[in-house]
Amino acid sequence: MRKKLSIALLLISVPIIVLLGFTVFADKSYAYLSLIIVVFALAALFLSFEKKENSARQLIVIAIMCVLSIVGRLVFAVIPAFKPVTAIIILLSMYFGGEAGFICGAMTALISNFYFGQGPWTPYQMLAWGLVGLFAGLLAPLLRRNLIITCVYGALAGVIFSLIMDINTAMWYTNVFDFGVYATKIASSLPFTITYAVSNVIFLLLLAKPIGKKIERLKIKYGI
Amino acid sequence: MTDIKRLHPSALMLYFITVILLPMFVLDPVILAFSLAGSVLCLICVKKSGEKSGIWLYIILFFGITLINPLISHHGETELFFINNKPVTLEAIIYGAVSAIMIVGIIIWFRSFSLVMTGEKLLYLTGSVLPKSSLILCTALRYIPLFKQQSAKIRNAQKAMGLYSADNITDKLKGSARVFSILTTWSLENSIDTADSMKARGYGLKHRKPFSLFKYHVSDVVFTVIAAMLAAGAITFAAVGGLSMEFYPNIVLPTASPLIILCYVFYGALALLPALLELKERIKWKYLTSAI
Repeated sequence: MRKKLSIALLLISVPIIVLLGFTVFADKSYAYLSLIIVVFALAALFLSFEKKENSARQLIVIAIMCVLSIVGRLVFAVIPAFKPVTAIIILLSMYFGGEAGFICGAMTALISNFYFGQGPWTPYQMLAWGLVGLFAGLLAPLLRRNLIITCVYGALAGVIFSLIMDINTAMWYTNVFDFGVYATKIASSLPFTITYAVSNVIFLLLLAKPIGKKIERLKIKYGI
Repeated sequence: MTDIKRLHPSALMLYFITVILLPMFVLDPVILAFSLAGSVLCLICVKKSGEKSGIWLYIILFFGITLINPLISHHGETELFFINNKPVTLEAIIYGAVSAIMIVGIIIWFRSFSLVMTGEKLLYLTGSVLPKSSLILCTALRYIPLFKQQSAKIRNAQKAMGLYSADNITDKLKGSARVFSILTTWSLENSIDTADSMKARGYGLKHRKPFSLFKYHVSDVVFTVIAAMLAAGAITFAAVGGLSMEFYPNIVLPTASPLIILCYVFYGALALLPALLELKERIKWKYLTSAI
């Protein structure tokens, strides 16, 4: 039932919304239509997580990692864009799979925005961080073997996160999607993008070994 | 009926979704004015008295969006002046201002939403559809204050062991890293305890329903029906009456047909509903105190 619902959300509702956007609301509501589609994509991914078999132990460990990244974001709030969030999400995905990473990324955005302020940007952040985790899960065997590849992935994840968030802000300025505006936005947020990438690498170098060891130990000790 | 904070979560959710739906898709000055006025009044009603309103942020946002649009879009007939040989038009400025009002209004609605929809209410709503994600959300929300307490405890223990940070920054950083490492180990181990306890108490068994304190009262039903009718009316009249405003090349205001006026009335009532509820409560309170 949940699987069908998530497929229906993606395959039926999204095209209908895009069509409606073109025909009924001819009034250039790109920002809102894309917001709705982002929310639907999130819903589908959450539903597919619900369908997986997870033990209570796994769920609580995911929750704890969420709290770690939320607290990390809160602690480093004073330095813009310099945050351990992405690094922690990637580490969780490496050991617990992409779905866990997705949930951790999305929840971190959702919960930490209770402190930083919710808004139309929340679903975009949820999706951006969630996707970082999801793809890290796909590459998990590779990432676990080699710290350098993990760092490269972390840097890329920072850039992609920034690019996704720029799509959102660029559309809110004019309510249409314009490549010129997008390019300007990318250029103006370049310092942030670089900080994202650099901070991800720094935090991965710092955290990968100790947290990886702790998670490995937890897995062996309690058989998660 | 009671004030908006005490309504049932699903009634609240329905209200906030419907109230932002119309201003999202119709750039119409009257609708947007109602949306902005309603959102500000709603925020005043739900905000705690000492809390900052953050009005400067909204004003900066408004002017930012208003000024950016004419620099990007050069459509429109009334050219005011030129920057870099590109015209800055009156139409583009007005379009920018109208969309700025819309965005500021929506952001203020979101703010009221996050004040009214506490974590508990959100969990109640998502719990039946997304039980596992809700569990993670709920656990994480509980662990954040616990982390703060625990890190203070660890810090104190470290100090008592003589490991307090000296004046230089490397020592301080090392100390913080040690506290963080201990905190991580403690929380991961502790989480297993929580999970086992949950299992022992029957988490994940069939035929178990989530507990909640929320009940659908008569006032919730009345509120839901009124909000749904107003929203449905406003959207229908907007669609049938062809409510839309044109900005380029000339500004064409929507003509005031009876249908569109009905749409304004319906949407206005919808947007001002929280404020009206609050007003009703205040009047009732005054009446009750004067009766004593």
